[in-house]
Amino acid sequence: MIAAATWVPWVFAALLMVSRRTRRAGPFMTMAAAIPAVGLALFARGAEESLPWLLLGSRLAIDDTAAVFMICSAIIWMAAALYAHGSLAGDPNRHRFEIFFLWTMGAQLGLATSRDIPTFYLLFFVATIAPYGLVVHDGSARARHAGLVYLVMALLAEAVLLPGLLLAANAAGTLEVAAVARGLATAEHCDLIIGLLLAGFAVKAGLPPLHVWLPLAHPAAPTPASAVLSGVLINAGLLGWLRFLPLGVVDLPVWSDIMLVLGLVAALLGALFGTLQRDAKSALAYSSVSQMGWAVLILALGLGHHDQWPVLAPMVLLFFAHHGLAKAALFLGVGVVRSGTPSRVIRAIGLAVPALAIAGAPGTTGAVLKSALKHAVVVEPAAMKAILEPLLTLASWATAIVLLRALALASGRADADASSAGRPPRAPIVAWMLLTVAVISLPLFTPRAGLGSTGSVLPILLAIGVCGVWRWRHWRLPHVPPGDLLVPLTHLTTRAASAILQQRPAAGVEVGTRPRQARAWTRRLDALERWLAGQRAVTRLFLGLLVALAIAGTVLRPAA
Amino acid sequence: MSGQALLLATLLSSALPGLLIFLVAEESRRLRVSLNLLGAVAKLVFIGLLMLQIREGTTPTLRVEVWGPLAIELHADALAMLLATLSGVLWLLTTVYAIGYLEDSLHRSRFFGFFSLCVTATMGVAISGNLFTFLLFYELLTVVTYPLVVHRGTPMAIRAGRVYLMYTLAGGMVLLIGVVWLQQLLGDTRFVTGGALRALPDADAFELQALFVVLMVGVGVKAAVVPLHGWLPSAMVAPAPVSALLHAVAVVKVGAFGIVRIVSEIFGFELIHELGVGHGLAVAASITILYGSIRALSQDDLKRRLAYSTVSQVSYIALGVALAAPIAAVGGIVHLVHQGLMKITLFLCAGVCAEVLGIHRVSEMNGVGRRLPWTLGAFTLAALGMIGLPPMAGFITKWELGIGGLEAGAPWVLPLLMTSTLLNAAYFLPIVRRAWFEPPAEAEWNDRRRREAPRLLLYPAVLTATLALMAGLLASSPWSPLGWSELIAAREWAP
Repeated sequence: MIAAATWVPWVFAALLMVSRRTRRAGPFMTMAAAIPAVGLALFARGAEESLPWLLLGSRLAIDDTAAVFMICSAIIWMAAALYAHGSLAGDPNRHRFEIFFLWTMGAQLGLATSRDIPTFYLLFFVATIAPYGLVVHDGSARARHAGLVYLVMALLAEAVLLPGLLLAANAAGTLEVAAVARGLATAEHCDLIIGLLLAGFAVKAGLPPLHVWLPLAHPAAPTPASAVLSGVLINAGLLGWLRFLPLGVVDLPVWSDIMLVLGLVAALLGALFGTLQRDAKSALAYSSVSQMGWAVLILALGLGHHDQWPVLAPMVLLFFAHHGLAKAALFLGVGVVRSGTPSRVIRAIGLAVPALAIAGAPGTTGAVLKSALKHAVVVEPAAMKAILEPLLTLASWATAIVLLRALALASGRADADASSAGRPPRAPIVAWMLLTVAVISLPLFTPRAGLGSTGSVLPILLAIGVCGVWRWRHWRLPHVPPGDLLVPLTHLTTRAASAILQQRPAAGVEVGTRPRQARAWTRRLDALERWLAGQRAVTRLFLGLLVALAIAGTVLRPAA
Repeated sequence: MSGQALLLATLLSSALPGLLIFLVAEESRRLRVSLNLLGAVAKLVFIGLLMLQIREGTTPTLRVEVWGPLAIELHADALAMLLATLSGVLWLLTTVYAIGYLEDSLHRSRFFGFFSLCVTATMGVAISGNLFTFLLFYELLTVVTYPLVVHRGTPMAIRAGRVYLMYTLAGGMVLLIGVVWLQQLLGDTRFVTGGALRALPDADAFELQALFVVLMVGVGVKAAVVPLHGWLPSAMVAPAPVSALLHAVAVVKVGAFGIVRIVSEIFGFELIHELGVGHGLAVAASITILYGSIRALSQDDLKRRLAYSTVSQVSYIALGVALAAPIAAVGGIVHLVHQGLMKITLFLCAGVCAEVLGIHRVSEMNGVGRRLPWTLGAFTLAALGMIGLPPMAGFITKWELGIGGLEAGAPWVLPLLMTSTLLNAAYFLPIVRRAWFEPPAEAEWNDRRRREAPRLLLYPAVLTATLALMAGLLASSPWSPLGWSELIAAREWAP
C-alpha cells in the first residue's frame, strides 16, 4: 500500500512517456499525483510494509518524520503543479517538464518512507537525476550550464555517498537504515563513514563548499521547478543526515563542532553572497543555502548532545515545513511578479509574509525555530557559546538583509516590466496565495514554544534601516557571480577535462586551451592502441611471454 | 528427459540448425528463419528443464573417453547454467534482430550458419566439465566467429578479422600449453568444486604460480584484459548483431567464464590465497577497468566507445573472482549476466541508429531521442545500468562487489568502483544528453508521424533493456541472476 501510494507519480510519468494521448491530462496528473501520499501520511501513520522481491529486499514505513516530510512536500508539489499549469500553458515541451516533475515527485515523496539502504539510495538517486530535466528545461545556455554543473556535482556526490553507505552497511551487517545508524557509533571506520555521508548528502543540501551548483540551478529552472528544488528537494539531503547519522544515540563532539562551523559558514556566507546578487531568484537560492545552514546547526547540536535530541528532532521536522513552504511561496511570488503585475495587496502579502516567516518575525514558525536554537546553544561549553551567540545574531540580521535584497530585486524588475506585461494568469497567483496561507497557518499545527519571541525583531528592523539608508544614498553593491567559488573552479576543471577527452567538453562551458603535454599523452595512447591492433604486437607479446616464462623457469626454479 | 540427453540436446539444438542452414538456398528465407527460431526456442526449453534439475541438486554429467587419460566431459552445474541461460536467451533475441538487420544483404545462409555454431561453441564452453573440453569449444568458437567478424568483406573487416584471429589463436595456444601442463601435473583436468589442484599435496608453489599466469593469459585474450585487448576495438567492424553477441555473450564472456572456472575450480580460493596470485589478477583487472574507461572517453565512433566500455566492464568479473571471497565472487559472476544484458542492449540500439538513420558517431546523435524514442529509451536504461545506477542491474553488481571487497579485506575496491562509475558516467551521459536534450540534427526528426525502427530491430532491444531493469529491480527473487549466483556461491564457495 505504501509503495502503491507513493509511486503514483511514477505511474503517471510512465503513462505520459508511453502514450501521447494521455498528455492532455498532464496538468491534472501533476496536481493529483501527490494526493495519495498525503492520504497515507494522514491516515496510515505507523504503517509498515515489506517488499522482499524488490531490489535487495525493500522495507517501507511511515513514521512521524516521514509523515511531516510527505505532507509539507505534497502541498508544495501541488502548488507548483498548479503554477506550472498556468505558466507553461503554451510551452511545446510541457509534457517533458511534467514527466521529469513526476519522476522527481515520486522519488522525493517515497524517500521518507524507505527503511533499507538500497531503496533509499534508489529514490535518492532518482530525486537527484530527474531534476536535471527540470533545470535545463528552457534550453538556454545558462540553463544548460547550470544543468551540467548540477549533474557533475550530483554524480560526484553519489560516488562519495555509495562508499559511505557500503561501509556503513558492512559495519552494521544489515541493510536496515535505523540499525545502520545505531551501529555507526561503534563501527570500525566510524569517522570515515560519517565524513562520507556528510559530504555525500551535502551537495543536495547545499552545504558549503558544495553549494556552488545551487545558486545556478535553482534560478535557471522554470519557476515552479525552482520552488520545488528550493522548497522540497533541498530537504532530501537533510533527511539523509537525519536518517543515517547516529543522532540521539551517542555524542560525537568533533563532528558536532565541524557541522557547527559548516552551518555557521553556510548561514553567513549564503546570506552575504545572496545580497551581492543581481537577480531575485539567485538571491533566493543563496538564502536557501543560508537557511540550510540553520538546519545544520540544529543537527550539529543534536550530534554533540544526544540527550538534547528529543527536543531538537521536532525542530528539524518543523524546519522542513517552515522553510519549504515559505521559500516555495517566495519563488512562486517572484515568478508571478516577473510575469505581470498582480495587485499591490497581493504582492505585499505574498512576498512579505513568507519573507518575515523566514526572518523569524514574532508569530511565525521562524520565531519558534530561532528561539529553540538559542535555548539549545546553552548546552555548549562556555567558549563555544561565547562565539556562537553573537554569530547567530549576526546571521539573523544577514537573513533579513538577503531577503530584503531579493524582494527589492523582484519588485524593481516588476516596475521596469510593468508597461509591457499585462495581468498574470490566474493559476500561478492561486498557487502562490495557497502557499502563503499555508505559511501563515503553519503555527496552528506545530509546537508553539517561542512563537512570540521578539528576538528577531531588532535584526529585522536593523536590516530594513540599513537597506533604507543604502537606497537613499544610492550606494552600489559589488557583484558576485552566482556559484561564487565555481567560476575559478570551472576554469581549472575544463582545462583538465579537455586534456583527457581530447574533444570539446559539453556545450555551455568555455573551453580552455588544451595543454600541449596532455595532447602528446593521448597521442601516445593512440599509438599504443594502434600497435596493439597490429600483427607485430601479437607475436611480440606472446613470444615475450614465453621467453619470460622460460627464463623464469630456468633461473628461479632451483632457488624455489 | 534424462540429464545426459538434455546436455546433448542443448548443444545439438543450435548445432544442427546451424549445419542445416548452410545447405539452405539463399532465397528460401522462410525455411532459414524457421530453422533458426525452432533451434533457439528448443534450446531455451532444454535449458529450462536442465535448470529445474539443477535446482533440485543433481548435476547431469556426460563423460566420453577419447584417448588415454583425455576425456570429453560435459556437466551442467549451477555455474554452467549462468552462461548457458544468458547465451540461450540472448541468442533468440539476437537472431530475431539479425533477421531484421540482414534482411537484404548477401550471404545470409553463411551468416546464420556460423551464428548458430558460435552459440553452440559458447554453450559447449558453459557446460564443459574439464579444461580439455573447455579448450576444444574455446578454439571452436575462435574458428566460427572469424567468418562473422569479416562478414562484410571490406578491407577494414578483413584486417580486423586477421588481428582477431592472431590474438585468439595465440591465446588458444598459450591455453593449450597450460592444459597440457595441468594434465601432466594432475593426470586429469576436471573442474572440481573447491579446486582440482588441492589434490596435489606437494606441488611446487612457483610452478603453480607460473601455471596460473599461463592459463590466465590463455583466457585473458578473449576476456580482453589489458594489454591483450588489442583485437576487440577493431573487431567492432562486424555487423551489429555480431558485435552484440560477441560483446555480450560469446567471445568476451567465454574468456571471463574461463577465468571464473580456472580460479574457482582448478585452483580454488584457498590455493589462490596461498599462492598470492589473486592480487596479480585483481591488479590486472583494475588496470583494465580504468584503462578501458579512459580510452572510451575519447572515442567518437559509437561502437568503438561501446567496445572500450566492454574492455572495462568485463574485468569486473575478473576482479570479483580475483578477490577469492564468496560475496565478491557473486558480484563478479552476476556481472556475467548483467553486463551481457546491458551491453547487448547498447549494441542493438547502436545498430538501429546505424541502420535506420545512418548514424555511427556520437557527435551525430543530437536529438535522436525524438526520432527513435523507444530505441534511445532502451539505450538510456542500459547506459544508466552500465554506470551502475539503481535500479538497473549494474547497481546490484556494484553493491555486491563493494560489500564483497570489504568482506575480502580489500577496501581499495571502493575507490576503484567509484572512479569507474564516474568514468562510465563521463562517457555515457553525454550520449544520453545529446540524444534527448539537444535540438535534433535534422528538422524532420521532429515530425511526429515518422515511424520508430522496424519491429524486428526494436523489440529485441527493448526486451533486453527490460530484462536488465528487471535483473536489478527484482534482484532478490531466487530466479534473478543474483538469486542464481547466490545459489552457485552456496554450492561452490560455501564457507
